[in-house]
Amino acid sequence: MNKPLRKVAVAGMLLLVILIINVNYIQGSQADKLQTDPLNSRQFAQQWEHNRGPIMAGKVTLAYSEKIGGKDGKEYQRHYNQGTLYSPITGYVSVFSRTGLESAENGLLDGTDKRLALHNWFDMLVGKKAAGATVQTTIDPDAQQAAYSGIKNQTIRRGGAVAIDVKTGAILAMASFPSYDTNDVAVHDGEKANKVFESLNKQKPAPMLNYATRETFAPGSSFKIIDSAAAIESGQYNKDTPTDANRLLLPESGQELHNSDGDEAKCNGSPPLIDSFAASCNSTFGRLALTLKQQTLENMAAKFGFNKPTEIENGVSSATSVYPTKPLGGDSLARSGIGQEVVTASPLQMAMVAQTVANGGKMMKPYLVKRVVAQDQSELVTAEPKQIGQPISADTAGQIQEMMRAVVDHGTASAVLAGRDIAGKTGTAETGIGGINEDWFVGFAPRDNPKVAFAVVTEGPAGSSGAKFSAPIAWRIVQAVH
Amino acid sequence: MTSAAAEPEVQIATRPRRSAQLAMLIFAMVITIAGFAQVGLARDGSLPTGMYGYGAGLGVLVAISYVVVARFAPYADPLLLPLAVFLNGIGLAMIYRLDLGTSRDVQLARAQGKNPTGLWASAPNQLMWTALSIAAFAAVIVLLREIKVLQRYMYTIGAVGLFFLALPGFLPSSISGSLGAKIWIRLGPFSIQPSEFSKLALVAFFAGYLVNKRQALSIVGKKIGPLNLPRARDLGPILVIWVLTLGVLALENDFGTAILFFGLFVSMLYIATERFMWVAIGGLLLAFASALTPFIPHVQQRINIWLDPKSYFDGGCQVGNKIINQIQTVAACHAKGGTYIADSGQLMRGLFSLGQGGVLGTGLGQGEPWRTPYSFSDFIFTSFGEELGLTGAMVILIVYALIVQRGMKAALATKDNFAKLFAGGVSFVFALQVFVIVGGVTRLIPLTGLTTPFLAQGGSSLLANWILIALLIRISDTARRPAPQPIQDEGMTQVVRTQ
Repeated sequence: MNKPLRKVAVAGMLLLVILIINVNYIQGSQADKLQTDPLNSRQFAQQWEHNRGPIMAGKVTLAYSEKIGGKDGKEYQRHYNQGTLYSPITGYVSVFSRTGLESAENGLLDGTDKRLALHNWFDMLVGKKAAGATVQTTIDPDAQQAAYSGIKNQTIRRGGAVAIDVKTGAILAMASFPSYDTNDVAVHDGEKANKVFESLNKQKPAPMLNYATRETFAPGSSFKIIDSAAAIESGQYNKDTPTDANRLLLPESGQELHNSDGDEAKCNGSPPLIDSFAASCNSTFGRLALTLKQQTLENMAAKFGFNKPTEIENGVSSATSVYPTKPLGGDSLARSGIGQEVVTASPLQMAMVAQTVANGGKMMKPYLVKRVVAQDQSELVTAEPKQIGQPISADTAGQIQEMMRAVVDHGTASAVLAGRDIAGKTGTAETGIGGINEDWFVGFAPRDNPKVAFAVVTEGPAGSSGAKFSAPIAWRIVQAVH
Repeated sequence: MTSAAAEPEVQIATRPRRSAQLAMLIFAMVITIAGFAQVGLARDGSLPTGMYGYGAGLGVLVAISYVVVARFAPYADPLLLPLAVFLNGIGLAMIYRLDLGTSRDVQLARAQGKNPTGLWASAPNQLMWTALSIAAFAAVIVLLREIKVLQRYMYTIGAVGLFFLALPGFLPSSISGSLGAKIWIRLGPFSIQPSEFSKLALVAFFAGYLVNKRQALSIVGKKIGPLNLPRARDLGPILVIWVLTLGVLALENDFGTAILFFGLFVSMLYIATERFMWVAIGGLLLAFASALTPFIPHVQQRINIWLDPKSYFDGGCQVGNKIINQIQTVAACHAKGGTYIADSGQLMRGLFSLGQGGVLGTGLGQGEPWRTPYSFSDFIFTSFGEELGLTGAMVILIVYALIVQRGMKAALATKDNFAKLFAGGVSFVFALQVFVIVGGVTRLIPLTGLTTPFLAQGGSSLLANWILIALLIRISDTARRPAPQPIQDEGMTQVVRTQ
């Protein structure tokens, strides 16, 4: 019986060899992945052991760690300066989770990233923990403050604003309202943190949602920038092509698509595209959507970044702005042309549209981290601006820029902004909920040779408009940018 | 190796290896006590008071076991006892480390509402069971001088084994049930897991039966395709027992043990008959059984969890075609209009534990293995993986491999067919058991509850495994004992080896 016995012995040993290989695979090569798995709550409990590096905006410190020397690994406390103002950017570290840049740059902030280990090889040898690196954001503190206070003072419910550097895609301001103090959730005591989370989660509108990137709103007439882009790119239009601005009866229901931005008087006859745009004639753009067809608009919207999330930093991305891909009926297609009903967009998405137009058609990847510097001042990460598309030609972009200047000169925003060095497009979308309007202003400044692109959305009562509610905030942001 | 009749010669050292055994026992004890010391130093910065008590207790037990083996089984394999002591010792240190009564970090975690699993880890209990087990070990060595005695009572042993295996299935769940499986017999403060002992009993029965029938089993009865089946009257009893056993285990929801028994029958039939056909038939039956798994919810859950653990983390709830995780209760899932499927929290936490350990581990007493439910029993391997790292985990697996190898060596060395089959059977089953539980907690295969031999907290398993080691020591002692000297001394005789 020894012959089969030997084979069974080999089989038995083989089982153990397989186990050894598997354990090597898990603990040898999968360990990092398991340690940072989002479901793994250990990493959050251990984070108080690390001297996390600060998060900066220019010279302003947004987040820093203080040594409190607590026991049981609670050596450091994380603090946030003006947590309510900067919550969309920094995010937080709590005993349960991490968000925002605290999450995206976690390894560099807490010193566990391999790039830091290289810089601290001697410390590692003597068992010292690597010191966290400093994350320098692209945020302009004054612009951020202007954006947040502007929205807070104006909106009756929620609001968001994003300002982007036209040439690089660097995010200069990213404000969200309502907000919350990140210090409240960064407490060591799990029970306390849990209570704060519970109370925040109960509030409506949700203060922890980032309205600048993670929520979408009906873009209203600001979507006409995309209609115009599709029209001009089709080759059948330029800014001076006469358009039909007479009353539009919707093809299915026969109802009228009202012109309602206050410039109804200008919306008749056949004004050139630029004038229809400046006066924001729904009749013109509803008709344009029907003429261009859904596929053309969908393609153009997708080129600008609709229908997929946009990644800002590792693991930090925007909500998906939507232009419908399912075939629309005639009424809905016409309404999609004026950014109503089926179309939704995040402020970040519309800011990217403005940035592309202002940058001669070149769409830049939005980003928040300018550079990451180790404690020994060596630069670990340096942001490199990256073009992620060219939805429209430089020529088309130039024409739309001119159309957006016309809005301020003699169009829907002229009453508020005339004479100021800014261009943009207003948008006012009825939500149908409690008479609330989504009030947009999307544009860039200065008018010539633009540097800052922006999108601001606030919510106002019936009768409010993008021009009255959001355009002044955009102007304040632009003035604040250094 | 050309003919089946000429068995290959096995090299046997026929002299006592007492000092080697002693040296290795001391080594195993040093590691154990160092383990206790490290737990204390890491946690409180001082040597734990428990170290002396547990060290002394274990030391006395080990001394007794050494004396017994040296006196009653002097020719036994010197490695088996130290390997068992090593595993038992570090297991005890880990349970001590996880015990709420002795672990400050576990107490703290509990105070913070973190739900550590040390609540049921009990080092005093485990030490008591170690004492009982080593007493049983000594008793077996002293009383059972010939393994063949078991062969004489094979039917009784088999019947008793089967009876106790089946008993929990017929007892009310309040006595036998825990975590979905009915495998316990609980009487007051004591609970026994009879399958641990039935495993040994059935190996003894099969070894006896197969030794008697191995010639008959080779006679071809019927031919079905390429398979030459033995006569029904030879195969029948085995099949009956086999079906009975697996039926009982299915009834008790104990699929880990079912796999074990299945492997046991197939491997022993193969060893006894020397016909590979049995492995092929075993493979076919296994394929058939796995085709049935979708109809057994308990098994299907385990497979779902294994394939996609993230979806089921802390409770997977199927709503429409989507599985939402972190739905912790069945009620919460129903409230969402879904069907509660399973929870992979334990498996994932075990993996996180291993990941935390990495290559070198956090150090004994410095990790957080108590985050994994049952970190001191079913998941004790991941607790070691966390605190001792890949390095420690490999040491444990290699020690298991050594036990299997020494058992197989005893099987090869012994001339008695019953002992050969018995030793081969238990050694293979030991390897299979380690594979099923360690493979389960490391997500190599679907997780089924089996004990981790010698390490996991639990009296039945410890007792059964110590008896197993005693039997292997007895078999290897018999095998290595020099043949009795001829009574008539014919003076100097030149020994000529013929082969």
